[in-house]
Amino acid sequence: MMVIGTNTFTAAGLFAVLAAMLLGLFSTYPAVKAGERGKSFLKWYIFSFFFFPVALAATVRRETGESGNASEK
Amino acid sequence: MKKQPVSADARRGMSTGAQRLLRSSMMDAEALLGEYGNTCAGYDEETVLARRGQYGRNETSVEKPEPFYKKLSEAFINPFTVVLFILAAILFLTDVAFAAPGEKDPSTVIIIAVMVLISGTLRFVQEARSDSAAAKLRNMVHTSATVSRAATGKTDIPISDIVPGDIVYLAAGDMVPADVRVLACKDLFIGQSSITGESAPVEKTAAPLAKTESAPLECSNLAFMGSNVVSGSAVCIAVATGGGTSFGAVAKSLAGKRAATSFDKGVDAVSRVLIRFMLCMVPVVFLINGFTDGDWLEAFMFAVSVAVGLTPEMLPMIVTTNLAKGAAAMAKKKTIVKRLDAMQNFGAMDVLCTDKTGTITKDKVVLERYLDVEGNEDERVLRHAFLNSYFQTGLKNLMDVAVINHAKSEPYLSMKEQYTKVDEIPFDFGRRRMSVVVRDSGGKTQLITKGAVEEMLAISSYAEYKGRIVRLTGEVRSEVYETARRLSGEGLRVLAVAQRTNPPVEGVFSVRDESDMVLIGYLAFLDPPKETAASAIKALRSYGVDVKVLTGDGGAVTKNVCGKVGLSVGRVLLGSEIDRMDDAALTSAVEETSVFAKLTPPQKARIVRVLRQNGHVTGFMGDGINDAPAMRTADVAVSVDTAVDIAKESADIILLEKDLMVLEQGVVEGRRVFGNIIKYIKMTASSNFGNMFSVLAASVFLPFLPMRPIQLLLLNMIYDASCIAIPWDNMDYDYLKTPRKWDASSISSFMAWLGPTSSVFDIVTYIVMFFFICPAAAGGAYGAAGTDRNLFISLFNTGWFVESLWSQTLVIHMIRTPKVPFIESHASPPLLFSTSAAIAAGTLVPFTAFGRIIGMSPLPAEYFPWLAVILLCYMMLATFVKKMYRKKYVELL
Repeated sequence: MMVIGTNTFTAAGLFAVLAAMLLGLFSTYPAVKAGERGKSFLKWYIFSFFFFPVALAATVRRETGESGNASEK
Repeated sequence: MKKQPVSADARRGMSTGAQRLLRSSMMDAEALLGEYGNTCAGYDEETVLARRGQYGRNETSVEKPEPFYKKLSEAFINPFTVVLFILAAILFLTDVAFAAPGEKDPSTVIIIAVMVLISGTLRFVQEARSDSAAAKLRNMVHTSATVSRAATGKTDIPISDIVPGDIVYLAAGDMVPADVRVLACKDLFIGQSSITGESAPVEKTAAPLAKTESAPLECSNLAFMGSNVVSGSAVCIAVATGGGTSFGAVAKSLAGKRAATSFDKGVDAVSRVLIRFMLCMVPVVFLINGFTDGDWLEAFMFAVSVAVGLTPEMLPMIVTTNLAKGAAAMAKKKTIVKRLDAMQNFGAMDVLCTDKTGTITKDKVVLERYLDVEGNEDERVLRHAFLNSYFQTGLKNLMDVAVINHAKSEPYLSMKEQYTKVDEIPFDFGRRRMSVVVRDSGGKTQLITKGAVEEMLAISSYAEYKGRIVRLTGEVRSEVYETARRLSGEGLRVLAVAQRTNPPVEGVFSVRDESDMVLIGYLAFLDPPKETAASAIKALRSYGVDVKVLTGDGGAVTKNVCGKVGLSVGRVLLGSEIDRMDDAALTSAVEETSVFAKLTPPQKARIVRVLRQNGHVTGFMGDGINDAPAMRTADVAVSVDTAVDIAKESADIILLEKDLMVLEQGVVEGRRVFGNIIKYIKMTASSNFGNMFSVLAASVFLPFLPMRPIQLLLLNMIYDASCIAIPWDNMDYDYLKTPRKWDASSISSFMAWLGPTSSVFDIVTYIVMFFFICPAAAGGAYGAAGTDRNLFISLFNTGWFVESLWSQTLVIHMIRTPKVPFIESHASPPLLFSTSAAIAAGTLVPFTAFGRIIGMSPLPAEYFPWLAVILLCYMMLATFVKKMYRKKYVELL
C-alpha cells in the first residue's frame, strides 16, 4: 500500500519528474515518424512533448492510413 | 643525375659526418685502416666495446622504448586518476587528518585508492604485456651483417653491433649496414633509391678519389646505410654508424611528433565531455543538498561521491586493454602492432593508400613473353636471351634472374654444356645493353646482345622478319616501335634481343663489335602482383575500405598491375598533374581517382593529407624511404618486414608475412576493438547522464541522501569490475562490415536518449522504496511518529543501490547490440560471467556484515518482485528507445 504521509512535496515532485521523463521518451515516437516523412524532428518532438495525445493520434492515423493505402495497392 | 654546384658556404656548413666521409673517399685502404686502428683481421672485443661506448649502437631509431618509470607514471597519471587523487587527498584531510578523534573514517579514501590502484595496475600490466609481445615479434625480423672480428674471424652480427672502423663484407642482396668506404670490390652495384630516389643501381669502385666531390652521395667509393647491394661483392670499412649516417639524418628529420589521429582526438573529446559533466554536476548537487538539508559536510561528501561516480576512471584501462587485446590477436597472425592505438585506426580506416612495388607486387620480375619481331611467341628468342643472361658475369639484374628462372628445363639446361663463353661486353647505364660471345660445339661463334629497344635498334642493321633476314627499313622499325609500345601499354617492361653470327674478331671484343646486328625479337617482363593482393583488395572493399595506389612508377605499368588486382583504373593521375592542382582541385580529384603514378614522396604525403582533410581515416602501406613522409601523415601506417628500416620506423603496423589477407583481418579486429571501446564509452556516458537526473531529482525532492557516499563508491567499483570483461565481448557481424570512426556527436545523442531511460527507473525505485517498501518495513511514512527513521533511510539506500547495480549492469547487455539481447545476440562468456558475478555480489552485500558496516539493511522479500517488474519494464522501455534511436541515427554504437 502506498504511504505518503506528510511527504506530498516528495510525492508530487517524484511523480512529476517521472511523468515528464516518460513523456520525453515517448515523444520520440511521433517525432521519429515525422522525421521519416521529412518533417522537422525537433519541432515535432516539442509539439509531442506538450500535446502528446494529439501528436500520437495524428501519427497513428497517418500510419494506419498509409498501411491501408499500401494494402489496397 | 646532374650535379648541383656546391657553394663554399655550403661546404663550410657541411656536417662533420659528411666531411669524414669525403675525407675517407680520398684515402687509400692502408691509410684508412691506420686511421681507424684496424686490420683486415678486425677489432678485438675490447676495442669494439670501447668504440661502441664512444659512438653508441648502430641504430637510427629515434623512437627509443620508454623507460619503466615513464610507463608506470603514464599508467597512473591521466585526467581521470588525477581527479581521483585530488578527491582522495581532500577526503583524507576531512575524514582522517582533521576529523575529530573517534570520527576518523578512512574507508572512502581507501576505496578511491583501491580504484586508482586497480585501474593503473591493469593498464600498466596490459601495456607491458603488449610491449613484450611486440618486442618478441620484432626480434623475428632478421637484420644482420657480416664483419671481421679478431676472435671469431668473418662472422654474422646484428647490424646494431657494428662500430666505426669495422671491416664489413657485402654481397648481392645485402642491406648496407652503415656508411662505408669500399676497400675492394668486384662488379659492385648499389641500389640507392631509398636514399636518393634514383631507381637505377649505381656502380661503386674501390679506388681512392683524386679530388673532393661536392657531397658524399657523389662519391663512387662510398656506400650508404639503407641502400642495398644489387650485384657484386665488396669489402668495406664502416666510416659512420647510427645517427651519424646519411640515413640516420633522414630518420631524424622524420622523427617529429605525429599528427593527432582520429583516435587521439576522439578519446580527448569524450574525456572532455565527461569531465565537463562532472564539473557542472558536482557544484549543483553540493549546493542543492547543502541548502535543502543544511548539512554542508554531508552535502560535500555526497557531491564528492557523485564526482567519483561520474568519473569514468576505467576508461583508460578499458581502452588500453581493448587495444592490447587486438594487438595480441594480430600478433598471432604474425603482424606487429607497434602503436597500440593503431588498432582502432585500422578499424576506422576507410581509405588505404598503398605503394605498388613490394607491397601489392612481389618486387620480383618475371619473364611474361618472348616474341619475334612480328610479335609472335618464339622459343629461339628465349634461347638467345638465356645464353646472354646465363653467361654474363657483371650486373645480374632482376631481368637476367627472370630469364634464367624461366628457362629451368630442357633444352636450356643442356645449353650450359653445349656452349662455352668466349667473352662479354658488360652492361652499363650509358649503353643500356650488354653482350656475350658464345661458341657452340660445332665451332660457330655468336655475339648475343640484349637491351633497351631504342639502343638495340641503334646497333641493328637487319631483322628476322617474316622468316627472312631483311634490312631494317623504316617500315620494319615502325613495326618494332609499335609492338614495343603495345607491350608497354600492357604494363610490360620490354627488352630487345639481337645476335650476330661469327663476329670478325675473337678474344678482344668491345662495344664497337655491337654493330650490324640482326634483331630477333623481344622479351617482355612483369613485376606481378602478390597472389593475395586481388583477394585482399576485394575483401577490403567488401568491408568498406577503398584502396588507392600511390606509386613513383610509370602510368602504363601501374595501370596494368592495378587492373590485375581488381582496382578500377578509370583515370591515372600523374605527379606532374597533381603539382598543377591547388588543394581545392586535388580535394575532388583524390575522391575520383584510385591510381596515382609518377609521384614524389611529398606528393604522396600531400594526397594522404588531402584525403584526411576530406574526412577519411586514411592508411598508408609502403616499404621504401620514399613512403616514409606519407606514412607519417597517415592515420595508420602499415609496412612489411622486408621494408627499409625507416619505413618500419614510420609504421604503426608491420606485416611479418607477405599474405595481404591479414589486412582484412586487421580491419575486422580493429573494428571489434573500436566496438568494445565505444560500447563502454556510450554505456558509461549514458549511465552517468541518467544518474545526473536521478541525483538531481533526489537532491531536490528527497529529504535525505538517496545513497551514502561510501555506498555510491562501492557501487561504482562493482560496476567497473564488471566492465573489465568488455574487451573480450563479441561484436555483431553487421557492426564489423563498415568502417567505424570516432564521432563525438553520436556519443552526445546516445546519452541524451538512453540516459533518461535508466533514470526513469531510478525515479520509479525512489517512489517504490519511499512510499511502499520502506514505510512497510520501518513502521510508517517518513517523518511520521513511530517510524524508524534510520531503518527507513538505510533500506531506501540499499534498495536504490541494488536496483541501480542491476540496471547499470543490464544496460551493458541492452546497449552492446541493436538486436534483442540474450535472444538475437549473445554476450561473450567472460562478459556474462563478470556481469552475473557483479549482480550477485551487489545483491548479497546488504545481507552481510560488510553491508551493515557501510550502512545497508537486508532487503525484505517483497522488494524483489518490485525489482523484477522494474527491470522488465526497463528492458522494454530500453528496447523501444533503442528502436527509435536507430530509426533516427541508423547506428546504435
